[in-house]
Amino acid sequence: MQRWTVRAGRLLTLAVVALAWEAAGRLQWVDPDFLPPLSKVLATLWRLLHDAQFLTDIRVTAVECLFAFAIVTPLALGCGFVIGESQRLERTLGPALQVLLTVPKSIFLPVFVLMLGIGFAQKVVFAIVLTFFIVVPTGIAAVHSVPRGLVVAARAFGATRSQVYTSIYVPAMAPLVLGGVRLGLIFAVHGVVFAEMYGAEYGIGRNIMLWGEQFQMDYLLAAVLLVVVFTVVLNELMQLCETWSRSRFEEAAS
Amino acid sequence: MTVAAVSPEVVAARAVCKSFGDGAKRFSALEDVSLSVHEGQFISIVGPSGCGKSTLLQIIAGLSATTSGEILIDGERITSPRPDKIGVVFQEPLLLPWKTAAENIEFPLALRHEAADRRRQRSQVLLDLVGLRESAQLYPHQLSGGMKQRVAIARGLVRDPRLLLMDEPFAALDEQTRTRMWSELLQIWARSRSTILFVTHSLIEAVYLADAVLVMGTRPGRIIERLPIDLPRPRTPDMVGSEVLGQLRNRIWHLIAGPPT
Repeated sequence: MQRWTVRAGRLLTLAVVALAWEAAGRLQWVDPDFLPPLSKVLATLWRLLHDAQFLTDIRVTAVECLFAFAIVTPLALGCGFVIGESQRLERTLGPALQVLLTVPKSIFLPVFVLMLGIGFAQKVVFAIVLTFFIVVPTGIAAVHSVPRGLVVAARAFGATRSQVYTSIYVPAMAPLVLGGVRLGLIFAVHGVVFAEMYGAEYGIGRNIMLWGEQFQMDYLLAAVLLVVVFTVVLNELMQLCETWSRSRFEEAAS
Repeated sequence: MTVAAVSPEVVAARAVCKSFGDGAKRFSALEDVSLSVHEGQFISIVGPSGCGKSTLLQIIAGLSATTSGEILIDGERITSPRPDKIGVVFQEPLLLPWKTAAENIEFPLALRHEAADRRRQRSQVLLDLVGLRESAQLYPHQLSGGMKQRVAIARGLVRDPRLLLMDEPFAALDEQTRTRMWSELLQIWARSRSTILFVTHSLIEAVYLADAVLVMGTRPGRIIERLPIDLPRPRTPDMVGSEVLGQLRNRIWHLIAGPPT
């Protein structure tokens, strides 16, 4: 019952925002050139989704995101695991990782362009660099979340080193690893779209930039809406996996 | 007691020393510790905190190496965990939260890749032994503290070890649950005819459960007395308040804290 009302409340909020958006343009609360009504934006989006050129842009962006995500997530989680397992490594590399996490990666984008041009490699590499330092700490935290007592107990019951990893580490780390995968997904998309906005021949980011410069607000907002819906759906799906794994793996260890 | 004295020796510690650190920082946790546990016996180790009783237990479990001296099980020297010979129950239940009670009990068998039906058969027997038949499919977070510790005991016994090591297993339980667990444990011990080495910091617990109490002293950690407990069996909760038990408790206390003034 309560859950139902919460859900209804959320839907209502969404509806109010959508209505306010629509009304703002139609009733001239704001200049409709700046904020076209939602219905117009949706109509534009519908048209765009049947436009061969734009579909190519979507495909280019999607492939770049997929590459960046597929490379950076295992890489960063793996590095996090190795660093988290070794106290010495963690003490040595910890401060450097902290600094690199703090530095805004966007300031390096001109360097990437000079080195890699404005093609596929630049997008993927930038997204990887951006995401790597965000996901590594999650990998380290995942190792730390393994209860030491369970490892000792497993050893006492005759577990080999690899059995300790498969029977204790993997299930104990699952919730945080899935959290890292989610971050990897979100920031891979973020990095690719951002790099496209800086300089590209194809891609959603390039279109967003272009339509902004040309003051085509309905096109611009349609593309924005598309990216928003895409990332929110991805995020929710990952969150579902995480919740499921938490309910299964993360009860108090005693 | 007389029967236990002639039964074969299960585990022996011979002049075990354990020290940590080097040079001026060298710290002797255990010095010249020798002990012997015979088949079917229930031996308690009691001592003040810092006397190295948990270190000793870790060494016997094969989880920690000696600096000198040796541990023998059935006359065979051990240097690494021997789950076939020794079952361990820790202070925390340390159950795998993602496995049911039955699966937790079967865990040591699963590590040996034993067939599922044989594992199931064995966990059934042990669930019956610890009185948790109804809770086989529950997860650890659905069990009370006492039930979790009973699952841990069942897991310790699942490979039918020669010796069950228990490291302050009831320290985290409330007093009433602990008192019930004493009776449970003594029944389990009698039914499974196992041999138990039980570390505790509770003097009453040490005396009430055991055939003999090894009293440890600190700085360096060593055994200062082996005290036979001649209370009749079966032990009943009423004995906890009895005069005999109280006198034994006081003797241990004075061994640890110095003679009465």
